[in-house]
Amino acid sequence: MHMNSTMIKRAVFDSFKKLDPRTQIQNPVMFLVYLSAIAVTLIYLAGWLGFANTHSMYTLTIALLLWFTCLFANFAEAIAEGRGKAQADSLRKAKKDIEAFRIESIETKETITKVNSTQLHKGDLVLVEAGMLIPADGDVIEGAASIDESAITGESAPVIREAGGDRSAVSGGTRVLSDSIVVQISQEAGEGFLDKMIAMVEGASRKKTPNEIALQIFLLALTLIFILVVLAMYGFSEFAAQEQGIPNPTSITTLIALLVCLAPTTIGALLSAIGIAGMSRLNQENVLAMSGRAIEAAGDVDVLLLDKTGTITLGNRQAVAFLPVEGVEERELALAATLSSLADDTPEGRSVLQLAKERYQIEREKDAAMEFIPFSAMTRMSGVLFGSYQIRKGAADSVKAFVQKNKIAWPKETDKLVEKIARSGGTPLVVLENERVLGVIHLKDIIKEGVQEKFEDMRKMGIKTIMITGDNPLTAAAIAAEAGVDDFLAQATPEGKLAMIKDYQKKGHLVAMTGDGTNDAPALAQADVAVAMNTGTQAAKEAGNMVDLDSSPTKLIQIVKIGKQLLMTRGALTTFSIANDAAKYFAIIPALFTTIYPGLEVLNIMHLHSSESAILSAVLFNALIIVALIPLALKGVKYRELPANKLLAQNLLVYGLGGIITPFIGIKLIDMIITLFIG
Amino acid sequence: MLSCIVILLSAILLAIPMGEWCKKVMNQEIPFIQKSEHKILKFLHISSREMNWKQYFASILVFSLLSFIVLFLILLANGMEAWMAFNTTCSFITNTNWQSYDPQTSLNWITQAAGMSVQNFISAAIGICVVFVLIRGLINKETSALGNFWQDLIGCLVYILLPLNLVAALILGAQGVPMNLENQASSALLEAVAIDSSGQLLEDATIQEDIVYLDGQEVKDATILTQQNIPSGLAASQIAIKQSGTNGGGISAANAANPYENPTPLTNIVENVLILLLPMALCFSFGFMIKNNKQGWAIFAAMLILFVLALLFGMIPEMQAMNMEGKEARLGIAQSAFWSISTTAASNGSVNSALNSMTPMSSMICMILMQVGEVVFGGVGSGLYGMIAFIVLSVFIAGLMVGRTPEFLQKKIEPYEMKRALILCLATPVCILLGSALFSLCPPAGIEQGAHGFSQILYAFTSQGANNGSAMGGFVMSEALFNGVGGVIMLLARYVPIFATLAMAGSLGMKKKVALSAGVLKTDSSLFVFLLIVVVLLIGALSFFPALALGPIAQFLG
Repeated sequence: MHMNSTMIKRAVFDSFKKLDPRTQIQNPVMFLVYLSAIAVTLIYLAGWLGFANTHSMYTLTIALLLWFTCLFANFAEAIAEGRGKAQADSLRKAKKDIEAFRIESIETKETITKVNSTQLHKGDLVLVEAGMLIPADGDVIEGAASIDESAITGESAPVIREAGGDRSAVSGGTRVLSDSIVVQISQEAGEGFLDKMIAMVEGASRKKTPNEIALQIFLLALTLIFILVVLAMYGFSEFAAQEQGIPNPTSITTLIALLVCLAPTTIGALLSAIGIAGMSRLNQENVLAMSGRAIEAAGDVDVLLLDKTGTITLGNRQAVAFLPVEGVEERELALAATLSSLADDTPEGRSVLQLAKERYQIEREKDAAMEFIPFSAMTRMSGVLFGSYQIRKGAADSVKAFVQKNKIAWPKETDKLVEKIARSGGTPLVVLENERVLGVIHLKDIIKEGVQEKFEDMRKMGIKTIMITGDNPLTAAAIAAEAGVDDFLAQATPEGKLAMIKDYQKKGHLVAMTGDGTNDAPALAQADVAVAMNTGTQAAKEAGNMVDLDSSPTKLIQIVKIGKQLLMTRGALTTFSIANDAAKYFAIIPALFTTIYPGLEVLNIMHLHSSESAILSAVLFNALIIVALIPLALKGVKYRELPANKLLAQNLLVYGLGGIITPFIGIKLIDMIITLFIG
Repeated sequence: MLSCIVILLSAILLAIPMGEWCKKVMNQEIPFIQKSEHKILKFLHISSREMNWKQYFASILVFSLLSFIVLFLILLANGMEAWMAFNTTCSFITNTNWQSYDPQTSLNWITQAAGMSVQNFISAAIGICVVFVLIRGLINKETSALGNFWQDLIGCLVYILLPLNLVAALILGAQGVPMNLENQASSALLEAVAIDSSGQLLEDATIQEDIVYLDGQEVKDATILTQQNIPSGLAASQIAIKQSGTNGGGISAANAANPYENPTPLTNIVENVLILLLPMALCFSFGFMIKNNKQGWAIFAAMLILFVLALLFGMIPEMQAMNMEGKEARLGIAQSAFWSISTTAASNGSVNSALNSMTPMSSMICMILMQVGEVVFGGVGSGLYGMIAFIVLSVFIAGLMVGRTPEFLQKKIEPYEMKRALILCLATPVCILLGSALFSLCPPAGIEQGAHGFSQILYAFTSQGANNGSAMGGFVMSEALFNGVGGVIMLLARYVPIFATLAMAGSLGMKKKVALSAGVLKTDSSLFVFLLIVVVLLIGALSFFPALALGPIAQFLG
């Protein structure tokens, strides 16, 4: 995470601002340190004013160290919030009051009423012309425009938004670059995507997640038991001291120092920073989580529904062969294929033209006489008509259905060709000229480099990968096998996806998916982690619990990683924090009790200089370790794709054993330095 | 030493089939048992409908309250002082069997049999019931039904505890443990002895014509004893259940060191095996119930490793010091130390030697076994549910470290379970710390000075706070304050964890099961066993290091 001096300055300022008791009480463990700091300060003041016999450098130093412990914890949180605040500031710039042209209906768009964006309500229609900012979130209901969404996504390339279909959603604060559109407002002022985004990145609406609450309960329980331990210790040492006829060696200041050392302050101080930083890492990936809960769920996800295109295969399938049926020339097929693909602007369409040009030097231009039949999800065919001549190309089963309906002959050979291509993982497109089947175009899916390894890693971690594709089962099976996914859903429909998610959830799995279309909304709402593409519709965005501003289908894997890393960091620092206590006991117990039982000096295995230096070193270590661990809390622990048991073994070694050893070294070093100064 | 190995091995070997039997009975797998339970319930006009956790807890509370009232009245009728009776009643209904009273002189055989033995059976049975409710909660999917307390209770009593103790009592009786309807027998001493006013034996005193002389001086307030009292009554049956039900309260103050409670080498082995048998067996029942024997073994392994560690650190100092003080010559050091470790591990509390005379390190091991919450085998049932709470804590930390929110046996551990598990794990330390801190500030009469005196206070509240019942002694225990506080602590240490366990079971039973995958933390692996041991020791160590430093450690280091 890049830090600049303004961010640090702001964090330092915020650390002091957070000393407000209302803020402190949010975090029970640190609130205890806060109260302790106040108590020791009062004890010092009482001594200074002569009310008690406690006026000493020692009390003052402990008081200061406790205040620093509080400030360090505040700083950790403030610095974690810093990045989000900086991002929120830049977003706010996009969210100024915008003048909007309100219209009554599409028909009367000439009569505009100029209003302020804050006065717009759900359902209002506005006209947005080139160069204007879109006043609020909504859907394009007329026209198409290229829009600069960089204010939200940071991506400078403009995107196209048009009425109807899955690319109709526009966000307030983005700028129309060309053309004019009519937008129906879908969100009240202040509830728009930008507002939500600002709230999310800033952490203002951050609620504690269930896991965070459970952890906090654990920390609180430990703290309470330590309060009791320390209180009981006073009684114990009173009993022991009476026998020796010496005053009780455990002063209130020392007891408080011991309590703060024992309480899990390290994790207590860093807990919220870890959560905020996890959210922030997700933001850096250009993903917005609508709740912290969604990130935690991402760590638990064990089934990923991955869209084939873009995630597993390169988006563009390429034509690699023309396979004519008997009696048809390959060139004839290539020509027909070219003609039918002239208006097809998809990479597949272009690759057909490319192949025909390479093989047979066929080049044709669009002709005004040609009437193109666009591809539709219903017919799953496209084609061209000019005069009585017609060419259609499309998925094998759709063309076959069309052929049978129109009582055209279907050469047996076609099935064989189709099956051969499908089995190899390719997509067959059957070409029909008038009443004759010419043959099949072989479109090949190019599997992305390195996906096999990625899925293998996922499997090791116990995550099932499922490929979602519109391909037929044969093709899907071949690609699934080549890419190494665990399962696939062929000829996927939104209903099919929904059923599949429900089925997995019933078996106890947590499912993640991405989606963009309105018809994806039910599945998105059902999935445990649902990433809506920013290019998607408003309905999809509302159904999901995350929005991917880059609209990249591979993001899901990254999101799971961030979720797991967040939980791992929490666990690792908790372990580290608790493991630290062993050394603190060995520093403080002998320091306190050797006056009663000199034999206990044996427990002073660190050979700390004096009882006061021992206690000071422990408290100072306790404060400094918070600062030392801030970078880890922000960055997250190292993430590896390993099975659970190996991960646990590694983390236990590093954070458990490390947590036991580190403070022994740290406290000893601090003690040496203190001794050097005091002599 | 050999007999120690025999005890450990026979306990383990018997525990496996016993575990299977417990599972069969509690799971109502045998039609005959199920039918008979229903008949008994019908006869008693009790519904056999399954209960949710609140109903189950209410039934336990009502039943315990009845037990309390009955036993309290019986003790008062025996002429026991009220606070003493309160402490004793709490002690027996909570499976603690802390004895502030002298059982041989203060209770007649009818009270022993109808009061003490009955509670020994019932309190052990409740422990088994509660742990099975928790297991059902872990197994069940999305249901609040956790079984019927009355049916479970009958099953435990009639088909688990009764047959086991019948066999045990026959063996003990055959070996010479009394089984008759008499209070106590007396016999004349070969030579009269004198004791001073505080009950201390005056060893060097001479007695002439009913006057006691010590160093030639007459001791005015001395008493001359010419008879000894021999414990009697329905002893064999009571001793069987006091051992097998991890109760521990004997019929004489010397407990199993008294030859009438533990007459032969065989009875020593049998009784020691009984101490460990049911707590061990329930680990295996757990594995059988959840249909994952490896998990049962994993829990057993964690307990066994802790137990063996305790044996090493507890027995070696005793044997090195050749510490025969306070031990029966016929039992020897090894068997006495092994027993002391067993009885504190398994929350039993019966003793066959004087714990007060143990070396400091060995007595510390005994205290640690109790202070970790009696989860090293622990009390019947309570040991296992305590350990499961520690598993929940371990899973919570470990689960996070593998990048998932924590789960145990495919059930997610969320704030609700976390709270209950913490209450369960921390009830014991809280009770112990509170009690011992209070009495450190106002020490009981007759307490020794210094570290050993503190150890005695710490031990007394460790034993009561962990529902163990063994005692180091060393001070006057008849004070009302001591008995009152002790009684309350025993009640809290028993019923708060039961409440937490049942609440946790209720919420776990309502949950769905999450799917298994390679990403899920395995709780039956050796790594997890290791982690569990560390967590148990860590919670214990963090809570009691200062106390132990001022007690046994200071005593050891001087």
